[in-house]
Amino acid sequence: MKTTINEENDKMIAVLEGELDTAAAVQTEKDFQLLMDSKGKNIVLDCTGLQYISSSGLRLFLSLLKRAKANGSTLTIEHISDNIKKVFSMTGFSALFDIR
Amino acid sequence: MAYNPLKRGKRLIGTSGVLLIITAAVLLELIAIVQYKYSHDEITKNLRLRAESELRAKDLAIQNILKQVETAVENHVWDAERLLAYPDSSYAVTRRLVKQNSNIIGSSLSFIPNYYSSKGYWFESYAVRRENGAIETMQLGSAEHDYTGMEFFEIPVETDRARWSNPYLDSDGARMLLTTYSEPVHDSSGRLVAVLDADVSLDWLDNILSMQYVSPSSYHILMSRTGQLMSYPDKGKVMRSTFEEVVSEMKDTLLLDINRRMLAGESGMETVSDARGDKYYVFYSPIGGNTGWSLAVVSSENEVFGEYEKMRIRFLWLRIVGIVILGFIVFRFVRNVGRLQKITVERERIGSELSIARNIQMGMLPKGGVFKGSSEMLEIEGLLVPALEVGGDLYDYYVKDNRLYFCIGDVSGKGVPAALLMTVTRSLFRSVSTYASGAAKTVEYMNLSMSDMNDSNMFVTLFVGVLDLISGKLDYCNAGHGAPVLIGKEVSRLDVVPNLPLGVYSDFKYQGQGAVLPSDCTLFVYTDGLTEAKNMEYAEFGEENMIRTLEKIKGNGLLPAELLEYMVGEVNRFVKTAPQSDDLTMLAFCCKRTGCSENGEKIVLKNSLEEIPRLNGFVVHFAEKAGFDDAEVLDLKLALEEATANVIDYAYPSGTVAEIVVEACFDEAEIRFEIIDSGKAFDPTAVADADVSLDVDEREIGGLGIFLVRRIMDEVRYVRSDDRNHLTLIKRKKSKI
Repeated sequence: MKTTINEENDKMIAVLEGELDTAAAVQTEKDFQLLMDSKGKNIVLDCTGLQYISSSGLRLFLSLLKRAKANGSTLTIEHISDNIKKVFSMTGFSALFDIR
Repeated sequence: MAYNPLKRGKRLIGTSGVLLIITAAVLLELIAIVQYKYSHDEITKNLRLRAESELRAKDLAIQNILKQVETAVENHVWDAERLLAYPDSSYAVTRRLVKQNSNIIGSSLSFIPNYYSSKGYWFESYAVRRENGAIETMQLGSAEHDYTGMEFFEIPVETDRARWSNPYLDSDGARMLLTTYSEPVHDSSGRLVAVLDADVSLDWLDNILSMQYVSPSSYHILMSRTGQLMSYPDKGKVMRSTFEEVVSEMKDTLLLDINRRMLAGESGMETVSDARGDKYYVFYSPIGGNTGWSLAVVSSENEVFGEYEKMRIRFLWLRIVGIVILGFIVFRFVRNVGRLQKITVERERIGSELSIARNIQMGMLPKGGVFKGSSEMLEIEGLLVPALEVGGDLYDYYVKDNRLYFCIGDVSGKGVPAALLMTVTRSLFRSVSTYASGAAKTVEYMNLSMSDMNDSNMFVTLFVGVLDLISGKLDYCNAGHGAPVLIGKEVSRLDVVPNLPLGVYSDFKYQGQGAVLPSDCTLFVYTDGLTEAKNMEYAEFGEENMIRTLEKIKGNGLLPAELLEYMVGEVNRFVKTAPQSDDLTMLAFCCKRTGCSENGEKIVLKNSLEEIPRLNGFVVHFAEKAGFDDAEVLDLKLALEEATANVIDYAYPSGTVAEIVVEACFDEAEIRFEIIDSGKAFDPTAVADADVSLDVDEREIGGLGIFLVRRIMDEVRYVRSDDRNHLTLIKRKKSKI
């Protein structure tokens, strides 16, 4: 699992690559700390390279969303694969997130 | 027109009943006729014998007297011939003759005219017995008494033979019946010179004739050679009429014929009828000697057969009474047969309906068999032997989603009412168990339904169980039924709460129970028809006998079917010929968890999240091998990861190192994973689902893992056994269609 965070203007773009399983989530949570701390900046999660996500990953996404909302900024998920979309759909996350 | 066997049968019996009576009557009458004919012949034969014997006896008696007269006359003829030279000695001859025989009342020796010149033309010396017994002699011959033209003289002279005259009446006042025997007298040269005769009184005839009778009212007819009646019931006719004259009045040709035959000296028997139609038997026979008489005996048939006729009439009445009684009996019989037939037809109808009902009832019962899962195998066998055609016992089972749903029950009572409730119970079980969550709920809903419609206050004891074939977890609820027996290494009773039978209280809260059945052990459930099977001495087979039997065979590895067969054999050996007192029902099953022998793999993980990628690799590899597509493989990977991560996170106190085993197997229908850990007991299936409809602010961070597992997998089962948590995840393959 690889997380690359790029800052562009007022947006923080995180490019997620690999499999976000429970084991990987430990590192990913640390990687997300930067995003969590970015006050007022809208966040974009580019999931083009994300092949798999477990509930630990979803939890990170949810934490991020809650933080963003609290800060008055947005969280956008982009280029999500069908498999992951299905997981989002199963868990009701499709309704919570702005998925593009 | 509808066929009615009853009507047809009744008519048949009616006709045959009448036929039976007619046949019996005809038979009785035939026998009577044959008997009558035979008896009649016998009596007639007997009568003839008696008549003949009577006639013979009377003939002999008459002859005897006449013979004496003949002999006496003969002797005196000799005397007279010797004394012809002395005309006056003729008085002495006649006197002696009269004196010698008391039947001779007079005698005359009459000479041919001018035989003695000294005596004149007529000479007849006559001796007569007077009433005082004195015998007088006199000469009778004279012109007024010209004996030469008289029968007693003329005929013997003409014929030169001795002869009995026709009977005649004494010309004196006495009007005595007389007959005269005349014998010619010859001189030494052989010339007929005189006739010696003896006048014989026939007084004795009546004595002789009345001596013996064929029958009390029989009478005699004695007639002379000319047909003159000498003896006849009508005394006025005697010596006044001939038999022919009497008979002519009657205008009976048969009688004329008899008259002719009697005159001809024949003998025989005839049956004649008089003007009133009464029948008479006439036996006739000539009197021996040369009198030319003929004697007849006449017997009334009425008298001869009178007694017999009376008897015959009596028997006829008896027969009529007999036939009437027979008719009555047949009538009653026919009525009873009709009733019986009606009952029989009814019984047959009920019988055939019961037989159909029995088939339906038996058809409801599952037939036993083997159910194979990917890692377990269930062998099950049930048996129901109703005491009557249909029974109130029931058992049922079915397997759905690797779970065995089973029940066994006993409806109060027997026969049709019990059978009706039995079918209701069984149907309820089938429908309720599919949607009710668990055995207790099943029983509760069944009870609700049955209590509502239980107007007849019948109840059902029931044991309901749901066995998870994969985990061996048994969820059960006992409603007043006996405890099942568990046959493993030991024979033991399953612990049951009695609760209440179904149909008693609608709001009763049934308590469910749980147990884990070890692999390869057999559960045996039964109704009291087994333990209370009675022998001829009313002793019961009993629980002890049952347990002893199970103890005996516990190690033999018998299949459920063989176990039941053995038990039935033991029961039969106990009850022997005693009739079955109650329905006998047994159900036995054995679930073997064989593990994944062919398509099985397992992985042992440490309780560390770092093991997750290894697990995921294993799952992907195995799911692909099992033939799932990429999307499904990803789902399975997610589910397994979530379930295992859950164990890693929560089962063990932090810092402890433990192992988690994940076993996997698949078959053509499904893929199955079992996660086994020795951590603290935790049933993820008991956790409430996360609410996925909540807003982001309300959503909990956790709880998604188990939710995902449930969403992805078709089945999630948990059992705690051997101090381990067993969590089984099952995913079925999509139907190819």
